[in-house]
Amino acid sequence: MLRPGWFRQNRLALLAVLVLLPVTLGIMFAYQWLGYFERFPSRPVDVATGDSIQYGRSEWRIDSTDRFGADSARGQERGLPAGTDLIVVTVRVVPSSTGTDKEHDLCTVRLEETGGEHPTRSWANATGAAVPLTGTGPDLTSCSRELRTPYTFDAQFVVPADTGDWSALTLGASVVTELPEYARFSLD
Amino acid sequence: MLADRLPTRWLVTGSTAVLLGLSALFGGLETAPVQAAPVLAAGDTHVGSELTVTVDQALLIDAFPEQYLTPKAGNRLLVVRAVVENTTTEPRRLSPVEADSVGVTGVPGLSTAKPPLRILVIDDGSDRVVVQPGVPVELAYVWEIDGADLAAGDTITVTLLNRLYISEGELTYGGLYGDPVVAATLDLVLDDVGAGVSE
Amino acid sequence: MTAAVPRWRHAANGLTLVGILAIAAVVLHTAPDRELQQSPITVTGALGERASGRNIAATVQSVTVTESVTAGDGWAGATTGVWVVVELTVEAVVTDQAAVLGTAVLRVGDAGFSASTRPGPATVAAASLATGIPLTGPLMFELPADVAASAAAAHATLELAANSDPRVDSQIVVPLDLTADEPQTSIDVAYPEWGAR
Repeated sequence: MLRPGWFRQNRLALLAVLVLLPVTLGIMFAYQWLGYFERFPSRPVDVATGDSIQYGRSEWRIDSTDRFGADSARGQERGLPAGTDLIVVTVRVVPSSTGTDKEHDLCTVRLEETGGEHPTRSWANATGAAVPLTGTGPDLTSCSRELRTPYTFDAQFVVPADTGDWSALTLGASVVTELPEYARFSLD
Repeated sequence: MLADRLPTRWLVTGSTAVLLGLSALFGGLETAPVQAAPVLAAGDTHVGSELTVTVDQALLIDAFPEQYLTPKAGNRLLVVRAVVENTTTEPRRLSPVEADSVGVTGVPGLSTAKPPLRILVIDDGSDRVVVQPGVPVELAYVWEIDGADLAAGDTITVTLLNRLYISEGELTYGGLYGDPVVAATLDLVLDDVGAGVSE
Repeated sequence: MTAAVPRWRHAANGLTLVGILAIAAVVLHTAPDRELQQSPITVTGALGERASGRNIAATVQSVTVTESVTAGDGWAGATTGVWVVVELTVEAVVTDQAAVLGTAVLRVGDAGFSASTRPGPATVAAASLATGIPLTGPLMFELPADVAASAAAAHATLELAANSDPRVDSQIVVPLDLTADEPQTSIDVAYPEWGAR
């Protein structure tokens, strides 16, 4: 079908196709994938253990993480169901003093577990979650709108007892005005 | 050709005459008479398109304190008791967003299409009413009215409504329904139970 | 070339056209309609076994037909039919955001019955779910007495989903035999409880 010399006669056209085809495909893919990442609903900003981060109008840091089993004294005081643990993460927030009287940021914190035998799981702060807790909780369980001086709040999470066994736990803090970026703190 | 030699006005007049003649076969150009909704008596059972409803009585009551239903000062509650059965094959939620099963008219101060304030299951006072297929349940439809507007012995008109199914929702889950149609009416004389009795 | 096209070429073209039209008709008629495109993703379970979907996992423990039932908080509602009480354990799998037991429907024959919310918090119907933490409690369904004893009741199915709109998400379907045991006169059920058993 192809007579000898066909390649030689059409070498310019073939060269053009050889160059233009990958370039076109590359541009198309780049356009699609960049758009995908741009519009991704969440973009975590990772923070290593012990580090602090400027996020929203405040500086954030994890002070400490505590864990209580359902059998422990504290667990029974809070009425933990059988087979669950209570993870309490103390977050230090230094609100920036903007000098205005506007209310400060509200935030949403979630606990995430990645890796391990389960697919990525996440839990909401106990005050808004399904499992009820009895007893006296911490004073502040989330960000404060009024405080302007550095403060800490304790985010509580009721999780299954096998959480974090062979997986990494992270705390995700998000402020509505900063979304889709959210601060993701590694917990140890 | 014949069509070339036919004047247009003959064609127009001719086709108009044919159409008018055809419409005479279907009763002429007058609007068709609308059938009035049947009038029932208390205790009659009305089979609607989705619900079979038997209205028992209508009464006035001060409040339902256990259900946290206390009207403003000077107002009272108008209650219509009815037994409702679902004749479809899917559960039917009755919520007071729209009056689409039982309504009241002829009540001073209440517009005709006003949905009930609450719909309660009489047995346990629950206000999450979902009528299951084939399981009749006794319900109380509650409206808030001005205490001076109605008294014992007054007559109100209760309307039984049918929903008109349009289609399955394009984006939403479940069917889309048009404005409810009055399928039957009944006149009831009001009782007054004052503060009511706990059953 | 000015030679005439032979007749058999015309016939062959015609047949090819008819063939392509037939294939197009088949493709059009077998294309999934909206109902199929939006149908829930079914996970079939069995009595006593844990069935797990994307964000809902449930184990149906028992099913009882009874004339009257008393819930854990004392609620005892009457019905003109019978109560079908299903004891089950349910949990969210990956996230507790917007995870509720929104769909709990018992299908007998061509009729569907939704779990009653009359008992309020004494039933797990429409209860909020927690990730990985099971909630054990009853679901109560009102059924006409003749339907609960009919032949179709031996092949009833229970549908569970983590949203009141079950489209395009996992739906656990468990076949149940409502006629397996004798109907009871009255039973007590426990209040819903959290935690592993």
